[in-house]
Amino acid sequence: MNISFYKYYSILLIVTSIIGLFNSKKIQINIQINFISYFLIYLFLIEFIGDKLSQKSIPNVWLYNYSSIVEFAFYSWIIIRILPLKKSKNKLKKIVLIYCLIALINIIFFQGKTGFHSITFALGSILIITLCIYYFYQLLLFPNEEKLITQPNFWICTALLFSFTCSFPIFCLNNFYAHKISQNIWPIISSISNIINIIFCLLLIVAFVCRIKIKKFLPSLS
Amino acid sequence: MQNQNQEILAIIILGALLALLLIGFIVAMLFIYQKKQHQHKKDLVVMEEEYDQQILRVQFEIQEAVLAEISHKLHDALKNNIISIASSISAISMKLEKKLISNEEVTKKLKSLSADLMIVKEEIRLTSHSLSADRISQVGLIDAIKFEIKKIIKDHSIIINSNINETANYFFKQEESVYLFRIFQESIGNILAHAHATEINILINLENQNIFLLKISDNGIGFNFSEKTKNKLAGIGLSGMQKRALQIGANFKLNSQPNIGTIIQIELPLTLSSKNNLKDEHEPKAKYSFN
Repeated sequence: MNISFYKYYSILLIVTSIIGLFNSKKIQINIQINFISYFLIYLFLIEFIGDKLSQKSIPNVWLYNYSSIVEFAFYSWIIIRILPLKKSKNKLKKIVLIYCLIALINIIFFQGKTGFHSITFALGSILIITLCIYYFYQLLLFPNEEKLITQPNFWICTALLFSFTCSFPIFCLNNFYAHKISQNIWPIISSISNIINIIFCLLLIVAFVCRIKIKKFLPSLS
Repeated sequence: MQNQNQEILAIIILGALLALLLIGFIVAMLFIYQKKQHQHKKDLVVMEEEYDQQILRVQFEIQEAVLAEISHKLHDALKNNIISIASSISAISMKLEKKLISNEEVTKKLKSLSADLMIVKEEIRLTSHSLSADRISQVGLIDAIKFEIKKIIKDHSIIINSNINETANYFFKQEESVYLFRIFQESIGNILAHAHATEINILINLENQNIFLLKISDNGIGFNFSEKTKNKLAGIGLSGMQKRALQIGANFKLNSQPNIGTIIQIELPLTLSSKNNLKDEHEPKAKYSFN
């Protein structure tokens, strides 16, 4: 039996994107929600094209290599944007830029020639995890009046931290110990990876809807 | 079949572990954040109380300084004049009793006494004007400062070079103009009392059409800022000026070098309301326009 979590993930990407776009218009929330919604459409397209290429037995590693750099750059930019303190934002932007350059060089001249850029992917995951931890550190250092569960930025960072923390060991396993793992384990790893992506989308949905106020309609007394 | 079941079981276990990990993280974050929020609120209350206390202390210090100034003026200027007038009157009356003075001389002396009384009256008026906040807001900041400069030139042997942009007169709320005027008074008072300066330069201008600039510099003995702030009593005037600037959202800069002089600079960004004040209240007078 092969559980097709991948299909659910693809559908959820579109659903999350629609919810994001709908809510960003309905209520005034952070502009990054708009960006994330459009970015989810981009991710869906990448997954769609990658799947089609795979079905036609055309190599699709190059697509995931380049799209992952865009993904890391985008998520880093989003986290830097939502950092509560302005201090060190410029330095972080420079670090992200340097990372992108290193990853591009790795894809064009080294690992990317033959396969997936596992080293720079691992580095990117560490970068995102570090940025998320830095965000939480700043959040705890300078709490605001608002409840945490109604802060979209908190849910966005939680989604990113969760996704990259959980997928990091999976990618390490995939790239560095692939030859030692039994073939039976691969479907499980693939399913776990898709579950992580599904939870990532669900957390983003929470980020998109956490500001919505549910109105209670009470009967008029007059 | 068994393999498939194992696969499902593994997925369920790992999925549950991931979910637990996530829920644990979120709950821990919520808990820690709430704790931090409470702490932050407590800190804010303490800070507010400290701030209020500081404001009260500064207000008290300012009141004391104003009372001291009134006392000083009454003692130095008015008391001496009144004593002189009183002694003149008593001398005239004595001479009149002994018929040592002619009517013409009495008239002449009385005219002179009347002039002296007018001086006393003028002194009281000037003192009253410089102390009254209402007066400052009535005449406007620039006119109040000009008035003060005239008074200083009259009372003290010091050169004052003033470069005042008249259009800056219309931009302030009452609180802003009073506080700026008090800062001006305080800094001039400091120069006259401590700086041993021979020259004061006063610059009032609008920078980039939206920042009011008040710059007062002197060629006095200057001081070491860090030493001055260590000494709480000596730093009262400075901290008072700083706090007044802070209260109206102005930027207070002080640069002092021993034996060279001191420069005090206050920059107040003009708010939208200030600009509206210009339009609403002073439109006919305004010589300044915003694009």
